[in-house]
Amino acid sequence: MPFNQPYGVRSFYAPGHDQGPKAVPAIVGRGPSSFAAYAAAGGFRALQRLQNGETTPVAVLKQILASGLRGCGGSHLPLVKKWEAAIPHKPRYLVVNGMEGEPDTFKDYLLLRDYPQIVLEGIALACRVLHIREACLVLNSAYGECRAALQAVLNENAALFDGLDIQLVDGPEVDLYVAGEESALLNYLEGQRAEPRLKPPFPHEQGLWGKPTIINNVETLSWLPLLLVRPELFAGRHPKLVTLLGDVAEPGIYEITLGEPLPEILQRARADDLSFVEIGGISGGLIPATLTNVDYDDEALAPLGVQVGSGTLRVFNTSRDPLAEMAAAIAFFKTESCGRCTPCRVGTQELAKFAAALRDTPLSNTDLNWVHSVAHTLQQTSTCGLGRAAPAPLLTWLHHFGKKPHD
Amino acid sequence: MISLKINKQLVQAKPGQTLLQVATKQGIEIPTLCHLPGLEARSVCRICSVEVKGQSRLLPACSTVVEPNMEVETHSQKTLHARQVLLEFIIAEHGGLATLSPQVRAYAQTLGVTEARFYLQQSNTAVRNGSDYIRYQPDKCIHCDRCISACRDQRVINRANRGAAIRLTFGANDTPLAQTNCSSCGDCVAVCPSGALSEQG
Ligand code: SF4
Ligand code: SF4
Ligand code: SF4
Ligand code: FES
Repeated sequence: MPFNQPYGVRSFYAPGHDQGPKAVPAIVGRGPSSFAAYAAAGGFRALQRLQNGETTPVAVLKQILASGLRGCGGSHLPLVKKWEAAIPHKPRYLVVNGMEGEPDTFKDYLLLRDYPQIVLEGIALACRVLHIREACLVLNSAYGECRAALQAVLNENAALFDGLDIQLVDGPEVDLYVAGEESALLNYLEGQRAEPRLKPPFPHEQGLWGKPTIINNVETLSWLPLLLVRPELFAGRHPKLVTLLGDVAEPGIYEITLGEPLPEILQRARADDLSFVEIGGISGGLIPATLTNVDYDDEALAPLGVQVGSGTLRVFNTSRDPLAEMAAAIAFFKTESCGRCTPCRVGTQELAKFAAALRDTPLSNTDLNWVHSVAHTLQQTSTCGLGRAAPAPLLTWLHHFGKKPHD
Repeated sequence: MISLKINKQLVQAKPGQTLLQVATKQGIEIPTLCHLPGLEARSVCRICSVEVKGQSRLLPACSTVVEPNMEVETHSQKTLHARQVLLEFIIAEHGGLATLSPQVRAYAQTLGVTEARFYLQQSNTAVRNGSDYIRYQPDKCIHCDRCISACRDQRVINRANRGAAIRLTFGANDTPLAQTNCSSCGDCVAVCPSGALSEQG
């Protein structure tokens, strides 16, 4: 797999740009962690079993597909769907998405930094059961510090990774949200402008260099060794890492169970002064404290207009202004739109204008109808998830914080 | 042959045909803007959006390939509404209908769109000029990608920047055409529907 990608990113910036890499604060893992326990016990157990012939790739694949594991990159779709669609195409490449472009999200970073061996064990397991020989792990360029340890794991355990070509690839030199979109990532790896591709064809049909490709998130694959060695973790439940930041006493990465009451999750980080919380990252929405008494899973969150998404929870205290936070989120999408398709390129500009005007313009019914038309068009016709998700912060704000329109 | 329903009519199609091709053959007119027969469909304008039963989103007719038993609506309320908003987007991005080419204005007329409800400021108006054989006027460009498709073999043309600052570049870094693979074939100018590209005398 040759990689050559300078143009793929530089084309997104005007000459002399001042954009830097993603800013990474001091991140700690807190609370009980299955990853910590597995690493302390030495790890590699699942891969060794496969290597020793204690089990077969077919049996392991069955176990994985039956586990209910979901994509942890933000889609939350069952992994079985992605893999079962891909298997008949005989996937050639595995691309592991370690871009973690979502702002304020660092769960993949924690795994890459603190548990490189588990990340790579998960990648190797996926390769073995899917009969893929070539894989690449794309690291956000801000996570460069993790690279040496990852490479060391590969070098020191050559026998376990025998026959696999796992490459570590640096992501874009600057923070580029859209490059984390799976088909944009493929363009990046091919040295093209890192903008999303039209689907279909889906990556599992025509992916990297036109070959069937599976793209999975770092966290998703990191759960593989654990679900094989400790199946009880996935017995009728689904563990998940969440990034809990903002106005809390103990920010960090927590391992939770999907469906746990949200107040209990927030309390672990000691969110003592809670005014509202952003659920599901920047493409999620702001939810007032009075409505946070729900279970933390997609089903219970849906009526509020938000999702688990990347598992990001950002807490805001009473000194914060939801309107300003919402406008910042919309402005983010406006800047990050790759500009490929009309609905997103223009629609995000229109939403940003609207969000900025909300501060001093009272809302009329005409305004409201227009903004819903714009939002609907973005959701219905945008090429990729960025454009489809862009209206969410504004829509949830209107729903939970907006005043009734006049006229 | 594949059987599918378009606007409740049973129709036959060959495998690999797009919904646009099949509909056109049936005499059903789906408006298009970025599509041009013979060029790779990039489906960026989304004006050709149609409703397909069982799909949560509208699909671009110009690149969606027929499947057995599809049920397609080409002129439902939902599609008409989306097309109108998209056209308003294009008009808004250009500060009005007047600067758009006659071809684009004609499209607008068929949809009954004469102006946009909001006007955005077109921020990027730097004209690429100089000694080049091709002139590019960003304020006219509707980002239909036709020139990118037309220049597929040489790959001279690409997009640069993002969001509102979007524009086209020739060569990786706006290099003079003479330093790119440009063969001066003029294909990009020939396919441009907006007048953004023109040959310099
Ligand atoms: S939806 Fe936005 S980010 Fe995605 S391809 Fe279209 S313009 Fe680019
Ligand atoms: S003149 Fe031909 S080769 Fe040159 S940019 Fe246009 S399409 Fe490409
Ligand atoms: S220059 Fe013309 S052909 Fe190229 S994207 Fe713009 S409008 Fe389309
Ligand atoms: S004509 Fe189909 S998307 Fe533009």
